[in-house]
Amino acid sequence: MNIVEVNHLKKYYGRHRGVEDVHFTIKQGEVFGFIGPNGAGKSTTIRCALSLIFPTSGKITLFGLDSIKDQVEIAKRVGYLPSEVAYYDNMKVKDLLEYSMSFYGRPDPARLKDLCERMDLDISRKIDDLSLGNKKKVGIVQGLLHRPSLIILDEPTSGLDPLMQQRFFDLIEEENKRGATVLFSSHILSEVKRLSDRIALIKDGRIEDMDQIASLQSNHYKNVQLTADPEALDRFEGSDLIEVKQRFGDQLHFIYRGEINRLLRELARFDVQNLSMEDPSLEELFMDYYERPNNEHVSS
Amino acid sequence: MNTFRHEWRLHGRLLRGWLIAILLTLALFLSFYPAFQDGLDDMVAMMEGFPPEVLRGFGLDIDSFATYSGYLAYIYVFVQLLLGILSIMSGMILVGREKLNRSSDFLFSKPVSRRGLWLAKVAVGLLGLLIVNSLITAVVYGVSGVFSIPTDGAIGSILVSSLLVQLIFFFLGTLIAVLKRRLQTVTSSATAIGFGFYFLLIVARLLEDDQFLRLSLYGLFDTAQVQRQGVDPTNLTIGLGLIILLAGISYRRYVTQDLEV
Repeated sequence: MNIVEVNHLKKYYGRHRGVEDVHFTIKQGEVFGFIGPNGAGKSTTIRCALSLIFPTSGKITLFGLDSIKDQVEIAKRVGYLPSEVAYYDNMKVKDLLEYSMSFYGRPDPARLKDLCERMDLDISRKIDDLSLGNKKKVGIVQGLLHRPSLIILDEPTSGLDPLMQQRFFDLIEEENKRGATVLFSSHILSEVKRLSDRIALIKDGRIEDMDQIASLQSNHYKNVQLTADPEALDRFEGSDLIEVKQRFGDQLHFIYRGEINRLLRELARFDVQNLSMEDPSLEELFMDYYERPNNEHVSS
Repeated sequence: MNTFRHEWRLHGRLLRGWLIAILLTLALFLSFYPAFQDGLDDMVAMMEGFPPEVLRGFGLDIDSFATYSGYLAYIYVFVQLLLGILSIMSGMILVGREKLNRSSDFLFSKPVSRRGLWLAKVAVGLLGLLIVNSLITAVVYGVSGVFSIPTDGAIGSILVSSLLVQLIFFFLGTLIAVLKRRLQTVTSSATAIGFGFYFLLIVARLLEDDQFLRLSLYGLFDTAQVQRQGVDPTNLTIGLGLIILLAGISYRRYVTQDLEV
């Protein structure tokens, strides 16, 4: 069952592009990572899904319900951590969390205590006395208090120290094991790699690619190290199949994008002494997507 | 209901301070009335020495000044100025609280409709105004009881029509809150707007121009006019229409607008 369905979402802020024809689905129990640089459209997509902003066109359904018409029903099942956490400054953390809980029916003090202990959060403090990291902890606790079926996290770890990041990841993994679906946006690739089953790469408001991380890495391009006769390498270096990274005598390091058998047929014409192929790291993949101009990616 | 309670708790802090200031100002002015009555002849003689423009500008009417309602009509302009500023502030703060605190993402992602939020916030504002006006009424009649001052029907008209002015300013405040992208200086904005309309009232009185008087909003139910002639039916219709219009636009914008990050 699809928990999230985003259909041809388009959002413009006046004349400024937010997102353009974004289209994806997330299955129940899946952890879906949304990767992209600042301004790519990650938060816009999330905020449209939560009806914090309204799409210019397109449709979003969560749990099969319309994101605008059924916003209240959807919100009962969603836990949301915004990228920028801000609350009512004059309130104490305890009062804010109680206020947050009041929207979901019966309070659960045991759950509150457990989450606050795990996130090392002092609920007796006033919100305007908290650091950014502590405000983020408040956001995490209020987002998970009601045991949501769908957890939406917008750049969740910014401001958290490494220990708290670790505890946060553990919490999300536990919630996911419990059956919660997770949609989170980030540009921190290590956390995306750790948590996600599947990722979507977004750039300039459009989804560039979407798959399991392993598939994206293996299908996208290959890092190739080739050892061969230098004269043969000279000829091969000029090929439009490859993008040369380094050349040392009889060794050539290049990136190959395209159908793998075509490369092998090409290489079969040479006297190859050694050949190694590796999938790119997520960082390389990310940089490759975002450094290239639009529409230059070659599908395998 | 939880939003109503939450808003009421936060709004109560604002109301308490303003309520004390307004009630003390009113009680202080009203407590001068017996002294004015004792020296009424001197007072009238002094007022007759004023240029007619000054008398008109401040809504001073020599004939009605001697009565409690006439005296109230004069001093209530200043109380109404404070009430106008409080009403604009209430509307701006209540409906714009999430903009002020940048906490829109927190509240609007909760299982509550925007319609429910707007209604809860407006209900808190209206309850606040009702309490303020009830206490003002208690003080006005309380002072008359303590000093055995006779009252007339014009007092009720002044107080009720004042509530209508406050409602106009309250919904104007809610509209400003939804229209402005960022809210930062609520107190100074509300004070500037309140004083701006008050100066319009003075100018309109000097010009004796009914259309201009209506533009000043306070002048729709000008206390001096209400005391002498009662509430003008045309102004009442305009006032009620304005309340509905401002409330309607504010509500529409609140439920349909994109929330700023």
